[in-house]
This record gives sequence, structure tokens and C-alpha cells, in this order.
Amino acid sequence: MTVWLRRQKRLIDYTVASLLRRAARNFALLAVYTLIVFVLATVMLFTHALRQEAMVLLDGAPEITVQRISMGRHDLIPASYVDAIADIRGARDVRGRLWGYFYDTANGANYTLMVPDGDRYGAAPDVGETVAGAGVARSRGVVPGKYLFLLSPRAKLFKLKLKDVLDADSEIVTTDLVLMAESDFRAFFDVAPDVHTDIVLKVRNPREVAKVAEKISNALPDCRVVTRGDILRTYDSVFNWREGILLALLGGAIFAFVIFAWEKASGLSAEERREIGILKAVGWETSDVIKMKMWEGAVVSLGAFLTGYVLAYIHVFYFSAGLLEPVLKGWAVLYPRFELTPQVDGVQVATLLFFTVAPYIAATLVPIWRAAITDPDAVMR
Amino acid sequence: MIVLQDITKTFNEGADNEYTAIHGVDLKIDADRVTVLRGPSGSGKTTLLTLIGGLARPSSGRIHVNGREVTSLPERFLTHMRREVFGFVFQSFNLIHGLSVLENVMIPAYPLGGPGRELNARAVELLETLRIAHKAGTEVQYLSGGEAQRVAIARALINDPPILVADEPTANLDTALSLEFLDIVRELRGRGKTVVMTSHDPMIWQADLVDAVVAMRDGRIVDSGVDPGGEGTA
Repeated sequence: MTVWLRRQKRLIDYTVASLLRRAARNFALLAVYTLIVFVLATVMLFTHALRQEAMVLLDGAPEITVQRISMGRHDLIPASYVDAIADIRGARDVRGRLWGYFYDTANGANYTLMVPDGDRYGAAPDVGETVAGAGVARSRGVVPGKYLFLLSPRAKLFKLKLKDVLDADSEIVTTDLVLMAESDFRAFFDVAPDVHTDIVLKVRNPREVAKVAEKISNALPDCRVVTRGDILRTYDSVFNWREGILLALLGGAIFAFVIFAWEKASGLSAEERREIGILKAVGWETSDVIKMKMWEGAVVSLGAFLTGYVLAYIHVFYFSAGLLEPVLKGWAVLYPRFELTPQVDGVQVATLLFFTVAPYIAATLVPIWRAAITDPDAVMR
Repeated sequence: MIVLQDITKTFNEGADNEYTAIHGVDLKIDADRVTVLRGPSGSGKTTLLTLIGGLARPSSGRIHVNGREVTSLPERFLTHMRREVFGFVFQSFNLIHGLSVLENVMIPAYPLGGPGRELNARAVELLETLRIAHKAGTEVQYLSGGEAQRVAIARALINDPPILVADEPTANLDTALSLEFLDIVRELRGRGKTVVMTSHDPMIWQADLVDAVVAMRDGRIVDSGVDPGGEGTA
């Protein structure tokens, strides 16, 4: 081992011994520090994961969705509108969709029943069969090959054989889905054959999306036209709003922590000043003292950061952020439950690291440096 | 040899509470000998000792250690001298509480980065020499005064410095422990170490092993020693 490495090892050994000597104080600081990182990281991980889920959702979303509005509410749309939209220049792949919500009283869960259009979830299942999301399968306790029983709004019992469970690459999208054949869907909700839930389409030239949407609005004044950009903006503002509210609430706590950390870090006790004096008197260089204290600050702040971050990761991705769920998920706190797909954003980690670790180490080093450059005799007096 | 030329030390210079502790002191301290600075409280002997040992810098004047002028040296070189030329024993021992005896003894050697096993062996050997090895694992706040002093001496010697500087080393000890300390000093002297210490205890400065006694009062030397080497030589 080189002399340099041995010096660093000794400094770290001394640092650890020094931390243990003030175990109660350092443990209290570590606990508060960890808690702050934990809450901040939870918010960041959660909102980032939700945004990613939303992005996955939007990736498969149609460029334009057309919904018929009746008395201000979403209504079924006539199949004839499909042809009307297809005639608009620039529109392509126009098709009607069938989907609806179903409240499962047995589980208190909301399911989305849908007829797949062949794009995102493949071809529709055969009549009498279904493909369901992981949340549905979990809450109903069914596995492929077994039957899923659903009671229709007209109190008719439907028996669908579970053919497969959807891949959980993004559970927020798929967890509540129940895919079925068109005839099963129409029979279940008692929907006439000449209407759809809404109409979706693509646009030949992506730069023409707004123009095509405007043309549809003009041609079909009883319809609401929603573009993918509109959905994206809605998601962003919803998630930013939630994150913002929580961060604002946390602001007070963070501010209190900053004062606490600054007080702890900047106010050298008489004992610490004496110790620095002794170390310098027996031959430690100013840089050795600063390094030792830097290690001490690094152990506390990085220890708190890593512990807080790992706990937040576990909390978000293994326990569905149970402590902050009502604030963060909002309307999404519905059954069946969904598990977020683990996502870590390097920039977010770096930002959190910078705003929690760097200020603490800086606040620690300044007073140490001031004490360490003083004559040891003066420090000990 | 340590040579002090016209040394002055003023605290709080320019402030209302400015105070000059040392006034133009000239002194020579020979190597391989035991020198005692004596005087009443407030006479400036501890301040002079800290200047000799490089713990503080004089306001004016020069100090030469083994022929090298040290007062104008950068902090880094002064640190080097404190680590490898001087070993300090403080009046209140200044051990670091919460650490064991062994850890306290090894602290001055940490920045040198020597092999851990050798350092450990050297520390244990010193503790054995000073008959305190059985307390190696004890935290220093649980030691008696005499034990703490021996640990402080071991710490001062861990880097094998040629000069031992001790400030009122027997102030907190009873007669028996003071005599024990003198035995240790005798042994160090026998090993060729230079020992400079302050004391107002007659048992110390009247001891036969002491080669020179420098009397101080009000920051000035009033008696420059018993050494036949001449005036100003301790």
C-alpha cells in the first residue's frame, strides 16, 4: 500500500472513530438528514415514474381522438362520423373505438373494458375469451385458462375465459384493462352496432395535426377534438402541480433542516476546536484536518443520501409510495392497484445529490478551515 | 541547539486589550540536555515554550532550530517540525477523549502514512517502556493523572523526535508521580534527547538531572541559567 493510501486510510479510521465518539448527535443528524432525502427522493422518483408511465401511454395514443359531446358530456359517436372524418384531407387510418369503464362491486375496482384495434394490444380475443391486465388478474385471482366472471350493467353474467395476462412493461396503462371481442363488448354494455365510444385517426403530415383537428372541429361541431399534444400538456400540468404542492409543503421542513445542518456544521464546539488544536500541535497539517473533517461530512451526508434514496426507491417501487400516495396519485388511487415500473433518472439523482450533499459538506468545511489555519496554540486557548 | 534572538510576543496587536507576554528574549538551549524554564504564573514561560516548539509564531525576533531559522518558515514546514523535531507534553495533557490510549499515542504518526503494523508495534513498545501498556485499550478519560501523563509522553515520542517539550509536566501530579516523571526524563536524556520544560515546582528545577534553569519574570529572562557556557546560554 502506498504512503498516500495509508494516510487516507488512517484519516478515515480517525474519522470513523470521531463519528462514533459523538454517536448520539451524529445519529440524530443522520436520521433527520435521511428523512429529508427520503421524502424528496420519494417525490422525485414517484413523479418521474408517473411521467414515464404517461409517456408510454402517449406513445401508443392516437394523434387525434374525436369524442361526441352531448349536453357537455361524452356520448357515443355514430359510425357515420368515421366516413365524414376520413373524407378530410390529411386524415388517415380513421377508425371507431369501443371502450368503457366497468365498476366491479366485488372488488371495489374500476376496470377498462376495451376492444383492441390491432395496433397496441394485438388482435381482439375470440368471442368468449379475454386478455386482462395484471391488476385485474391479481384482484380477481385468475390465471390464464380460468374464467373471469363479470356482471353487466343489465345484470347479465358474462363468463370470459382468460387467454393471457398483459405484459406489465407499464402497469399504469395495462393494469385495469379487460380486452374482449367486439360482439362481447356490445352485448355487455348493450351498445348498438352503429355507434362507437370515440374515433381515432392519424395524420399524414405530423405538422398538420392542428390543422386537421381544426377541420374536424369545423365539420363536426358536436364533437370535441383532442390531440396527443393536449394530453401531454394535461399530464404534465397534473404531475407538476402535484409535485409542486408537495415540494411547497416540504419547503418548510427542508428550510428547517438547512438551518439545523448549518448550525451543526458551522458552529464548532469548544471541544472540536480543542481537538483541531491538538491535532495541529502534534503534527497534523491543515490539509489533514480539513480532509478528516471532509471525510466526516462525506460519511454523514453520503450515508444519509444513500440510505434515504434506497429507502425511497423501496418505498415507491415496492410499497407503492404508501406514505404519500393520496397526494401524489390523486385520482389514480383506484383499484385495481398498479405497481410503478422502477425508473431512475440520472439527472434527478445528481440534482438531489448536489442540493443535499454539497451544501452540507461546504457548511462543514468553512469553519473547520478557519479553525485549522489558526496557530494551534490559539485554537487551544 | 535552539537559539532565540530578541523574541517578542504580543497578543491582540492593535486592539484595546493588547498584551505583550514576551519582551525581547535572547536564549540558547543546548542539545542533549535538560533545560527548565521557571517562574511564577504569568511570567511568560508557557508562551516562550509554545514559540520554541512552533505552536505559535513570535511577533518579532528569530528562532533557530539546529541551525535553521524557523520563524519565517511556511506553515507546512512548521508542521513538519512539530511532527518530527518536537514532541509535546501539555500541562493538561490534551489527550483526545473517546479514543483509546493506543489510538491517542498513534495520532501524530497518522499523517506519515507508515505501515500500520510497525506503527502499532512502536506504540505498544513505548507504552510498555512507560509501564502503561496494560491500559492500551482504555479510553483516555478513564485514566488517572499519572497514567494520562505517561500516555501524553508516549504520544510525544511516537515519531522519535530529538526534542521533547513539556509544559508544567508535574502540575497535576503528586510527589510520587513527579519523581516517576523525573525518572522518565532521566531515561530520555540518557537516550540523547533534548528536553525543554517549564515548571514552577522546585522538585523539578532542583533535580540533579537538570542541566540548566532559566528564570523568567514578566516576560523577561532574569536568570539565564546555571550552565557554565556563558551568559544567555541555558
